[in-house]
Amino acid sequence: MGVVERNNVVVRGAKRGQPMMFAHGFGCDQNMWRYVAPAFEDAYRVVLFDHVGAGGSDLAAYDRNKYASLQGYADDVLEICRELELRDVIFVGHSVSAMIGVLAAVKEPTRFAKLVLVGPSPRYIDDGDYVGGFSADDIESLLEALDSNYLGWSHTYAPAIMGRPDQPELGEELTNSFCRTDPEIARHFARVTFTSDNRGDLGRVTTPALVLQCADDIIAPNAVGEYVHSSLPASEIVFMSARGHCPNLSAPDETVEAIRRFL
Amino acid sequence: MNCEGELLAESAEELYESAPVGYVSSLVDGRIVRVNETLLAWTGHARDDLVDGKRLHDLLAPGARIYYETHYAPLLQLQGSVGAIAVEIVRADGSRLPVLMTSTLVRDESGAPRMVRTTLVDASERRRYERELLRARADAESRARAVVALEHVAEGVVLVGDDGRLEVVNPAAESIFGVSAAAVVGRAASDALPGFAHIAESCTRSGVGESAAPVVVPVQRPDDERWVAVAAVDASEATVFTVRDVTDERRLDELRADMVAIVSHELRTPLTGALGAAQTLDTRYDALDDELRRQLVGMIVEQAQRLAKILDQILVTSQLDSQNLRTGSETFDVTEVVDGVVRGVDEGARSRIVVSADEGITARADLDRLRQVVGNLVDNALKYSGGPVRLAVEHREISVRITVSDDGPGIPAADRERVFEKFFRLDPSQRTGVGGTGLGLYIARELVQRMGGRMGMLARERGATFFVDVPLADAG
Repeated sequence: MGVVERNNVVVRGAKRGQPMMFAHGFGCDQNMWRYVAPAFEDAYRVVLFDHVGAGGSDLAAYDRNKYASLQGYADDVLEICRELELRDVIFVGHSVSAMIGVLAAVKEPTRFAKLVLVGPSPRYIDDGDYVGGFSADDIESLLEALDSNYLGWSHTYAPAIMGRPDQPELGEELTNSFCRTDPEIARHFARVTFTSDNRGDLGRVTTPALVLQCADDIIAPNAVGEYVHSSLPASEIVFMSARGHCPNLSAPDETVEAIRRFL
Repeated sequence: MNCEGELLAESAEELYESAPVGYVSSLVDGRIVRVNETLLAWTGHARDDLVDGKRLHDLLAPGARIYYETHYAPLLQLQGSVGAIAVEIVRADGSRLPVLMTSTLVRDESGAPRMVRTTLVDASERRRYERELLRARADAESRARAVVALEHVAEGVVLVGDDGRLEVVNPAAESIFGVSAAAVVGRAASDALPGFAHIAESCTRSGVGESAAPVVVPVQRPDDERWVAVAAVDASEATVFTVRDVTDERRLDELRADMVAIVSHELRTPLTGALGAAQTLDTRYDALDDELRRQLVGMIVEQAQRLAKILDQILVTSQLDSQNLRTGSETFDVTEVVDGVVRGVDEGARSRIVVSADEGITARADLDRLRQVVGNLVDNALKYSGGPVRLAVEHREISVRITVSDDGPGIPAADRERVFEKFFRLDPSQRTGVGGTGLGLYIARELVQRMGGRMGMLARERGATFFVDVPLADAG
């Protein structure tokens, strides 16, 4: 299976335009960009994809060793760039994908023209003076929350639940049709994401970067956004009025506007 | 508003406040604008603490909060609703309450999101069931592994209920009793398993953890008899029988007993003869004439030689058993074997040997050992039949075959393979000479096999026909 099928790569917009690559974060898939990406299709060659394990990617390509660190995902980004022969790429990464973009740009700086980091965090767990916002226990309790919610979704249980009106979980699976992931993979991705520490990589980025910081973002609080901004040698930060962690869904217009100004 | 309308509004209000579910209305950015009494009662929060001060995700435990931000909120935006997600909310006192959370995005007339309505259902029970389900699954998985162990253990395991019916028969037990589990489980053990009635009587049941002394009993199967060692342990409302096939061990024990009996008998006979002759010489030397003295000395020599030969056989057997015996490999003309054997036979009997040999065949083997093997076959043939003994040499594709046949009483078809077993003897009354140990043919075949050849008996209407095949020198 090729890279395009593996990562469910979708290319839209201006064929000869500058490539603009959108990467989704933990918990969802390329649907995350459905209100933002179309705004750039007139001028840019828009590239959307799913990380392996998410959305329409090839689950069989999931390799626990390769994806035991964010570098595995960054390597996939570079493979997609090579496969589509993308140069001067504008990389837009949400949440954990902001750091995945950082790792890709460190490894192949010439490939990227600009980085847009939406709600980035180089480390989620507090460490000495550094405030990531979470304790190790919080991450364990996230894994529990994941387990509870996948119990009814897991393919192990699905056949037994089929056609059983007394088991509402099946309805859930059909209702929550966006952002579905394999439970085991989601668990592993959660652990890799929330135990990652890429603070040391920020200083090695030479690509100009924009940090989009939301208000009241509990996943990546203001202090973290400021840390990222001050650690990146060539970066700007925009404090958005949008609240929460997903401005690409809750405030697409503001998000598009901020990215446009940066470009 | 008329009276009916007031009542309706009041009951709707009452229903909202005291329904057995928690209601939260919040703005699109998460700020809580309204909650019902049920939720306040569940959480212990004051209304003022929540309304206009807190956001929906503030109610959640940290892990659930991350889940909310990364999964729930995006899904709500994308789908307009999210159904029955299991999360934990934190009460005012810090304790946690598992809930199922369902939200709907309410849009204004232009389609823009206006607010979020969230329903929370107490999921403590569901959480408990989930945990039980997970435990049950882990338990079932470990039981499944136990079944795998039972399937593959070398000992037979039979579980018999207190009503005497078979509940479990593992594959090893199937093979020992010669039955299939599918056919016998559910039937009375004493009817379904051969010899089981006897086993059940003989075994004393011990409690769990006690060491059960196994009893050894025979099991008569359709085609043969096996010996089994059985131990029985009381289980809950059943008895577990572990069954080990000890037939081979028993055979070995019998073999050992045979060996001691045969060897001591075979050694005693010549020793008694030699000793008797020696004692006679010792006590009556002067009274004996020269002829008698010579006869007695001759007897001592003969019996001592017989003893030496038996001891030699025992020694070779033990060398074969411990793989310490090496055979040579040399190239020779097979007529050398035939000539040597014929020369070794007493002059009186030599005329009874009829030789028919293909000429000029070269073999590769241990010449001395081969001569010894064929010589023994010829000696035996001469001994067991009064008539002619044919010694033939025949060129075959990659080997040379030496056949020794006689017109004697022969060997029953059933015993034609068994004569090569260690210590096997035909009817002892026929037994004469050194063949009595039952080791001669065993040693012969072992030696031939070590030379790369084979040895056996051919089926003939009359007499006995043995063959020895050894490789041709140019057979590669």
